[in-house]
Amino acid sequence: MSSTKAEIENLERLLIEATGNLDPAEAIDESDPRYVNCAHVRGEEGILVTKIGEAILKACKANSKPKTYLFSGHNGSGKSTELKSLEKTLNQKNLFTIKIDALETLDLEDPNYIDILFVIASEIERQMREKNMPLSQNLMSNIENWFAEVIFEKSTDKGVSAEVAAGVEAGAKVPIIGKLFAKFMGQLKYSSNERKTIRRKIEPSVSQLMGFINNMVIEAEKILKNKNFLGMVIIYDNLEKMKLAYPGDRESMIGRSTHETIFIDNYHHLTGIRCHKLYTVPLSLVYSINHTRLGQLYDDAYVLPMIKVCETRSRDPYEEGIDTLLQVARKRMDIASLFADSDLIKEIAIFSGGNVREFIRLLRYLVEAALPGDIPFKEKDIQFTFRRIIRDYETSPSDKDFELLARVYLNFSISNDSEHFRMLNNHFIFAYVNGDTWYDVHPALQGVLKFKDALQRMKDLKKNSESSTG
Amino acid sequence: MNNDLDHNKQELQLLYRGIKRAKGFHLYLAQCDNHRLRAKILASLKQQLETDGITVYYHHLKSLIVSLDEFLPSGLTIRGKEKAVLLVSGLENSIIETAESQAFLHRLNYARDLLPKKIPVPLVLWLPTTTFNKILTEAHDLWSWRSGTFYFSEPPETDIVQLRGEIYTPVDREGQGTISGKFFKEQLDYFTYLLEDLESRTDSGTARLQKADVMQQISELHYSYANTLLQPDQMTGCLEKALEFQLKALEIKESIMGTHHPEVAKSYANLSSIYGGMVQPDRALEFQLKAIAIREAVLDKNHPDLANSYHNISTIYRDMNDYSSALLYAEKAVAIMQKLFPNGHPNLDKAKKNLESIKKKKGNIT
Repeated sequence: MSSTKAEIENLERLLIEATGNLDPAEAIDESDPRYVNCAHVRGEEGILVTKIGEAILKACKANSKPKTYLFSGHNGSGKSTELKSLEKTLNQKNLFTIKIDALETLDLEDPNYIDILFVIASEIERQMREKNMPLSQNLMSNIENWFAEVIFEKSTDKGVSAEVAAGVEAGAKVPIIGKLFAKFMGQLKYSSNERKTIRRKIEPSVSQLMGFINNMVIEAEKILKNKNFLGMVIIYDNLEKMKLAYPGDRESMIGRSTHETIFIDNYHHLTGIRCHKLYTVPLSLVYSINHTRLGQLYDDAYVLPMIKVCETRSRDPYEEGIDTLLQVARKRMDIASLFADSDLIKEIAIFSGGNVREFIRLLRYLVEAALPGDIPFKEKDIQFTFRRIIRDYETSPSDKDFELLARVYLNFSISNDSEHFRMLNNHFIFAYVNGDTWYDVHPALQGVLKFKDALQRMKDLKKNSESSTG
Repeated sequence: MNNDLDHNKQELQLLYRGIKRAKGFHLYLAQCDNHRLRAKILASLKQQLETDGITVYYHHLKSLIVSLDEFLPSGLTIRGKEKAVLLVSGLENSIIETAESQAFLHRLNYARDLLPKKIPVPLVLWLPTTTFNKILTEAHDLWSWRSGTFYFSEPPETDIVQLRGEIYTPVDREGQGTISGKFFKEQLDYFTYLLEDLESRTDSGTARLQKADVMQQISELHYSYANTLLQPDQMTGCLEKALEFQLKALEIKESIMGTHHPEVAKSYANLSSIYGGMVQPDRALEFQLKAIAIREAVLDKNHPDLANSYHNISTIYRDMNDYSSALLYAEKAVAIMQKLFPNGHPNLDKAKKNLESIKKKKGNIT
């Protein structure tokens, strides 16, 4: 029976609506009607927001030492959504959050701990002021004088005013210190020569900068407590995007990396700020040989796990995780009309490897490519979508990469080396934390012929070696 | 002419539907190694989208870009509610092995919030395979928030691409016989018409590159015709036309793309073939060496164009009786082609035959 024009238009409308709700780049928060809480299917680490929120709240109430947490996870695992939830939870518990975005404040190509500290100082001043809780002029004057001596190398604050007059854009109501911070933030982010100069000048006096930051924090917390806040929390997001670089030859990967220099070698600066803090960090750092060291230096390092769609190491389907992703799909599209069978969506869930962004992308590929006549979707449509995603990964990994991936697939583990970390960062390998930390190859890569060949070779080698020793 | 589009019909439709249904900014990556094919795909896509009332903006990035602002053509602002799409090609010119371009590539990683503000409509980045893979491995944040990927390739029967005038094998669409006079005339009329149309446009970088592309195709057509249908004593006029158009194309390409671009290498390779046809082996050798120098530097080591160059220079050395050099390059050509083509493929057979003949000749001398 042929479809009427009205039916075809209706189906097209369903496809357009679904496409509109399936944007892999979009990060939603709890208030979005499409939000699905996935904490219970990420593994025991998954109830992250609750854990960190409760830990901070407890510490605030007990007036105990400020905590510093690290937070990481794969691209597309839902980190940004979780942090938005954390911020909301903390605000609801009367904790004032200073949310900082590294994408807006730093040049992530050339990261340095001094830039991070400077940005923190600047953002505390700005965000307190913008919420009508400005820090005292006395405190700010001390910082201005420090600027004058250390950065401008002038003996009086006339030099400061002159510097401010020279090209600072800010409102008339912004105090001098605010304008100075804004000016230097711009230079740190956009001008590599100025950045080097500022760092060179600050580094010998970084303990003074730390002192000023902590004085700002102490004063801010007094002000906040008078306004019935329990305290302050700094959330510094998107630091995990900073470039992984090694000194000298780019290919050699020897020496301390930028990640290690900032989070390990200068941990005392990051943890020394006297309020609760959370920094996002690269996944490869958390899974490196530095993992134990991070646990010693920071109060905890949390990784937002993937959604569990397979049982640990066996790869048998895990129904609860799959059903959770089915809910994600249900909130974004009319699955009853679009799919012949909801089991098809379960196949997609497994193929996503439990990465929410990959799941949404798979659905988008499916829906975007479809004609009204293709609805309801059948197995052939799902397989076509899978082939398109597999194609994305066919030409990029080298033969050596496929050998490495085959080993990961067989052993569910990675080695602590730059090659494996590169694969983690590139999403060729997914990390799972559910009862155990284990690793698997991106399901799309598992469909690539070269991977299958490499895997078969490895299996044959293993078999031959077992039979020769057996 | 429609063989290219027929071969890519499904992919084109997928891209068309994706753009049509997308609201706001979405990132699409379109992989296409062939400049001429890309031009055809873009023309067809433009026609379909404009019929649906979607404005198509196209921007070819000519050189190293330093900010995302340069994704947009100069002076263009796209309004948020506009039904439009932005197609951008030439990003590979910005992603070569320099420190600045590496930094730019990494900065693309940080553009998730910035790009939608600047480009509130779907953005399609057209990339050759090498750049596409670089995005995957070195700008993996950008890669991870793509909404779709599309792959456009030449139809298999034109792997040999008689119209490219490189490894010339007189095979027509049906796999037998040679290019006919009628086919030649139809193609020539079509390209001449395109060229006249382009001449009338403003002399923008994009229009100039399109002109270069058409001139190259006219050159290749003359070369193929000369080689297929004409006797040696009749070829001169045709080859001179091939040379004339190829040199014009090269001049434009060098001025826009620089001297180290795969498209420029293609022109050098074609010039080598033309001079070979004109029985000027020294010039043929000179240009093939130039082509190889670029291709070795910028292409994957198993790229078919590199294999073509190795094969062709091998034949030049062979004809100059320099069998040692001929053998070296013939072996390189066969090594790559064995990875690219199955046994029995005409390209591979031709290369193997050449290698055997050189070995025989070398054997006879030693």
